[in-house]
Amino acid sequence: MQDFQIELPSYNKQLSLRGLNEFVMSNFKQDKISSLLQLLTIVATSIFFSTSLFDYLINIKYTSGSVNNSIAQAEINQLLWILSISLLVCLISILTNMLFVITKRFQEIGTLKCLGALDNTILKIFILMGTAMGFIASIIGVVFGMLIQAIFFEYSLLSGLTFLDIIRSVGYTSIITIIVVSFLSFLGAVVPAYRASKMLPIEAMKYNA
Amino acid sequence: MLKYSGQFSDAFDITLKVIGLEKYYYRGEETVKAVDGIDFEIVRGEFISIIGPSGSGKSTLFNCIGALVKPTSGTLILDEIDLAELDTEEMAWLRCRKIGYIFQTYNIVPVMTALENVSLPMIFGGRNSEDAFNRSIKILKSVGLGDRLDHRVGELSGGQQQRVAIARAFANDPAIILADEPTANLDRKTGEDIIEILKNMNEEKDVTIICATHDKKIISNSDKVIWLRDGKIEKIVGNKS
Repeated sequence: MQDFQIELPSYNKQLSLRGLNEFVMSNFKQDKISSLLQLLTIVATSIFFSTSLFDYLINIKYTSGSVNNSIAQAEINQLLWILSISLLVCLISILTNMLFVITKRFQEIGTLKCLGALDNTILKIFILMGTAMGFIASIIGVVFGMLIQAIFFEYSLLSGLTFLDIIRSVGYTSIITIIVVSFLSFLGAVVPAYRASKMLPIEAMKYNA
Repeated sequence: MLKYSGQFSDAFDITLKVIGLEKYYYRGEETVKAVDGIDFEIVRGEFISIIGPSGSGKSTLFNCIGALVKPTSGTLILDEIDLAELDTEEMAWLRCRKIGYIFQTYNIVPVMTALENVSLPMIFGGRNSEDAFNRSIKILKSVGLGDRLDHRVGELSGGQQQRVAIARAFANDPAIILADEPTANLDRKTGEDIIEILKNMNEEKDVTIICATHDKKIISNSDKVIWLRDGKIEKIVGNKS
């Protein structure tokens, strides 16, 4: 009997960052129109979320000095309601979008596995891809959302609302939107990416998206 | 830690040994015996064709050898490694280093260039990109694609795509190349070119090639032809010797 060992020294663990990046960005190169649509979906939900979040934040400030407390409270409740709806829309659209993006590439995943990609590598590539997509889209969404708010701004600066308050709300809105949307994209990518990484190569290759 | 007993590699240099291989599929009550007890061995450097009608278990046998599906029972020893003893990670290593795949549908990663496609398995295998690129250029030149390095799939013809696939299969100097109907989607002339490239690579690098095929040209070029019927070996015919 002779023993020998498969060496897994540097194997696969350090897929160079450049290679990984290339693959992440490749989604955008591959099918420009559908990638753009996917990105737009997340951008649109980011706009919806950021504008309703901004409305909510600014209203808390705006109505804090208001005389009629019950009306102000009702308005805030209404905005909170819209905010929750926007979050739900965000959640559903991003999850379905990510599912679609990754399922579309199952065949490619199968090929990668045939070439020796580890389950972990697959998982890493697609989670990174999903999160990067969400991050980029959320930044675009915030910019547009805030532009829209600037155009339709309906609060007067006279009623105790300072310029600093507005800047601060914009800041909070941007940070929260980017974090929430990126996190949802990450979540959305984890499930299908995990499923893809656990698939047998042949199953993945024969999968018809 | 993998163990192997020395008995297989003594007399001949045997690349692949298949012992009592079975693969069943279960569809409800019914059991489909796709591969039903197959034994054979393949010596290093042989060019083998597997033929048989559709439904004869060709693809299943192929996928079993390629570590793409787990057989129901039986032993597969590839280059002295028993496939049954490998975990998922080692399986990936095996696919990367020991097996080269050539598919009917080429399966090139569409977003990458020819060069990137060929270097992908090397990068998975732990080479640094520069090293991998240099080697890929050499292999791509040897399959006659020296001037197509930076072309993406969309810009390549079917024959050229298949040549990229061949270059990719040879990237890590595997012990065995599995070609599943490599010429089925190509016209006759291009198909002949592909066979010639495969044959040259086979002789040059002394790598074992197994083709599942209907192509008479491939069959006449093989050292051995394995006939499959209903998941069993009908006959093994040697073309030479």
